[in-house]
Amino acid sequence: MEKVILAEKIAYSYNKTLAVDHISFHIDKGEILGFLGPNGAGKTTTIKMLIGLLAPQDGKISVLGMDTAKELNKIQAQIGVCFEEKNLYEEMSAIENLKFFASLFGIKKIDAAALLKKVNLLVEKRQKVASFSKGMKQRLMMARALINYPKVLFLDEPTDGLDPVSARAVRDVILEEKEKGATIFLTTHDMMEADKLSDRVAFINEGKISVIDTPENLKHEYGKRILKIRYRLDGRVEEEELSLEDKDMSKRIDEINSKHSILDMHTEEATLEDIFIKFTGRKLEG
Amino acid sequence: MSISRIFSIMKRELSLGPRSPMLLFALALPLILTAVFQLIFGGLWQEKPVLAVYDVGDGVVISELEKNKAIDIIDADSEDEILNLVEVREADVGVIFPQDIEDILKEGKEVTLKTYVDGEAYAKDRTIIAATMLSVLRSIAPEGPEVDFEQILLGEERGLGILEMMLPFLVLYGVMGGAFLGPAILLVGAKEKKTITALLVTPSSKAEILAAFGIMGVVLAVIMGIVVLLLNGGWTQPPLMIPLLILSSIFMAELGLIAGLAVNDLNTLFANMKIFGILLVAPELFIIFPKWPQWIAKIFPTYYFMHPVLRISIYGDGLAEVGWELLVLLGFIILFFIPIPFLAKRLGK
Repeated sequence: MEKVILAEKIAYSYNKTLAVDHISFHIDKGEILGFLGPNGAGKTTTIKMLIGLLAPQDGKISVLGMDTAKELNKIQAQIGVCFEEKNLYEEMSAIENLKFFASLFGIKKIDAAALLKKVNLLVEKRQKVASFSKGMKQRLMMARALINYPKVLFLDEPTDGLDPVSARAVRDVILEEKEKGATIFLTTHDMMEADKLSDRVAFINEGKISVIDTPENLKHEYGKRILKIRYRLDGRVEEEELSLEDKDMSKRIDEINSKHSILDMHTEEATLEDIFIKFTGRKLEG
Repeated sequence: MSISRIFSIMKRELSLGPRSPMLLFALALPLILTAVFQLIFGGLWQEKPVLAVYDVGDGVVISELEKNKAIDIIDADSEDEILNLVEVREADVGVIFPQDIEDILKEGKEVTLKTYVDGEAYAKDRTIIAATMLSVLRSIAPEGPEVDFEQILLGEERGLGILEMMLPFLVLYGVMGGAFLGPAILLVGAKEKKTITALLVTPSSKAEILAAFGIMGVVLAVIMGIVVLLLNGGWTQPPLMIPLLILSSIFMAELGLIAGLAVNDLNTLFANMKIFGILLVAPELFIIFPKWPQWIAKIFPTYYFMHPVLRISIYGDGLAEVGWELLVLLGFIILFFIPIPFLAKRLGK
């Protein structure tokens, strides 16, 4: 499998604070890697290094087989970036923004209206971005990231603080781009989003990657798979957790069933957040 | 480096960037100051330069001169009358056209024109009169008239008036508004609004972005410089003045880019301007107070812009006199370019 993004022992520190501590990872072609971590974990610094805004102080990055230190402009011509911070030209309309950025990519003709439709952003032609809601701006940022038909997308907290409709629109676009073969680096502290979208997730905390794997593998390997049974005992409702790995689980179920009246029972898997806490001792949000 | 990307960024900034209230104020200030100075010290509605003419021959040149609207003509009857008109300052310049001047010029022979010049007359008025006379003579001898001016100065050479002393300051302000504040405000504004990071992840290089901001500043500054010079009657010798304005605008644009790269917010930019701005305008003090040791003025880079403006506009100096100052200015441009690539490394962090 072609490694579209390859980071080897990259590090970056602000003054004396090590924000990213010699991390290594790769992303295969057409894959979505969810980069999970709480605020200040090093997600944005990592993405800034990958897109060339920061030069790694140690290590090496290659994107699409090109070294970011040597062929940055060639790389930037083939990537799309959606920032966490809204950095649009607010005094321009959505279409003017898209046309301006298209001109920087050397694209003379763009179907701005189709791009806006793609991200479900229906606005007046001359409406200034300054009057847009946060969700509308985020969708426009997403449209801007797609302006050059990028092979690689870098999305920094693309649904952070969005209403459910806007968040869904953004997620749909991400999945659509993946379908088309784009490779996507997604940073988020929303574990539900990461679970839904990512082929693999990496946990980053205090600048270090704790683990990197598919959500299913992580849940299987590190999650506690249990069966919860609720039954009635002397008029009270009792709840009991049984491990699915326990050899005596069936015997215990039979025992409860013979003596008591079972109200309900269901299996429960660990969430990515549970696993993150297990690895880092920190919660994902905040 | 892509010219089309530079042009795209410039186009955007020119169409939307100068809406910044601070930049608009900076651009308007030299015009406001010009209006204030002109109103207080006169000059805005100054009359046209006056040329007294005595044509010994048939008056063909006078009739041609009278068609020209740049100067007023007094038709004198004798050389004595010319002398008197200039002495009593009813005319800035008096000229005597010899007999058969038309034939002499047409034959391609050299003609000597005796001129009386009022020492108190403005240099720009003298320049306008000389240019007008040459234009009329050229219409008589299109191949190029061979003219030698025999100049007799009447009275003392005048000292500098307030308007003339302030001219370099006003032009500097105009150039500063466009070339220094333009790139600085746009760059810091782009950093504050984070739009600079959006630009930096496109194929546009830092050099292209800075070049776009810088060129835009230079264009604005040259226009501002010309406007201020025109409003103050200092627009003389365009072939020399335009290169001077371009060089000084490039120098100021470099300072603007350095300031824009070094600071991250507009408040800090303006605070620093209050502190360091005096260094830019300091040479003006040495123009106002000519008895101060003039070598001190030469320490300041802007001296090599303000002094040539004064010499060209007011004294009518040419390349031979101010050429070395333009070369020093070019040296400063090279010197102040050096820190820009180093500071640019911080962009986007």
